[in-house]
Amino acid sequence: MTDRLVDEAKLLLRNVSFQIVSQGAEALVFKTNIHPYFNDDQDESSYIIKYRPRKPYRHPKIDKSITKSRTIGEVKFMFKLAKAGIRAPRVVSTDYFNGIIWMEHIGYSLPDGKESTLKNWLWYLEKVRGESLSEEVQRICVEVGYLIGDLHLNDMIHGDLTSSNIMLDKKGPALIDFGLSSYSALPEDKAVDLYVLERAMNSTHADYASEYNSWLLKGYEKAHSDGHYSKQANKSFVEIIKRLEDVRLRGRKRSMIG
Amino acid sequence: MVYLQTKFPQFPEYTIFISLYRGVQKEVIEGVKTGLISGDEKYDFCFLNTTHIISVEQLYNAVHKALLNDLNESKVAKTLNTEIILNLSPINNIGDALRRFGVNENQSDVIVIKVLPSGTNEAGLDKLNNSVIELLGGSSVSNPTLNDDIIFSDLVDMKKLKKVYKLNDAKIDFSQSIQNDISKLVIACCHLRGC
Repeated sequence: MTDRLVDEAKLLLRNVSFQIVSQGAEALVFKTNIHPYFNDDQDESSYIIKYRPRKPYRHPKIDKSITKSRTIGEVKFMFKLAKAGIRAPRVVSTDYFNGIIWMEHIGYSLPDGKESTLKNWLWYLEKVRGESLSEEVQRICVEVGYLIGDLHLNDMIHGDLTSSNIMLDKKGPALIDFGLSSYSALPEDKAVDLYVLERAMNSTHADYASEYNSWLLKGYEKAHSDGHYSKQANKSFVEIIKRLEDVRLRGRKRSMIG
Repeated sequence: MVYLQTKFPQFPEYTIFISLYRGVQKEVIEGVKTGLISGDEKYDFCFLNTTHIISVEQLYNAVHKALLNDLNESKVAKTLNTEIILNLSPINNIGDALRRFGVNENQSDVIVIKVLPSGTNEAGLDKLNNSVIELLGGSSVSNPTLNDDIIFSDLVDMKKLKKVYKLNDAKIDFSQSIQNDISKLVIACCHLRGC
């Protein structure tokens, strides 16, 4: 299955060599060293290609328009992040017709060869170095929380916050994968976003989840109290936390009663 | 006589020629405009003014996207040259794009882009460059190398650029290279049109 899709992508991305990084239900993610239009011999940075393949079970016309609108939606979200100064990959090029986005690659390889997502980094520290609760981890977790606070203060919802959708590099954390993103100013949606992250942390980093989560929330609060945004930010933080407690009791989905 | 030439990995069959000409007379630009409107083959180039151009990368992005649309047969404009201009614009309106990015009588700096078959050799490109200089007024025109420094220090009008791409409320990190930062934002902005 994957091979067939990779072959399709090879046909579309003529003369571009790439390695597959991951595959989801909707898209494949490739990594390449080739810039689509600005090749510099000294430049050693790499790029990410996100490819949404055709779905053979959909009507071709509907398939085209769904692929196109989702790809555009993701590019728009990334542009808005860049404009708001929130760290995320920059758009390099797009091919809406074939569902392809080129973007910059963020992150580096950890000593065990894996990509530097928050998840892999925390796992690496847990397994190899046994310093899961060091000050560095605390600092990074607070920074991640701050980043998410920034995102929510711009009324943007990531929709799929997990520790593997947060990349780390020298400049700090950055968000990736905006396939489920949306825009909302409601405390409910922001609280659900936080709840999804909390659950993800609980299941992927079970031993230290409570510390990680409290640091994340600390950073989240810091973003709201920093004064970069309106004075209402503090108030909305209180509202979101109140909502988060409700969401914890009932789960991600709102009940249909009332 | 200096010009940039490049190739895109996805399009080995094309060579892209980009060059800057300064000190072009008003009458000559008017002539270029009428030539373009009447579809004169002598003027089969992509003529740009420099007001809203922030980097060479931005130009390459537009050419790349135009070639991609040509390949996918999803071109909106009639010709490849106009498609390049449209792909520089953040708005899906060809007339508007031509007004903002096409040649302008009040602007003596002109950037010329031409997509050539990749068989074209150095001599062919030199000849092409000479013919463009001839077209734009001969010896009164200077032909400096187009690079990011000259664009940023001499050519771009930041105020107008920010207005066209609606970047006035953008948070830009002034501790880093602003040109690079804005250039990346501008490129992403061009991709929002969705075609």
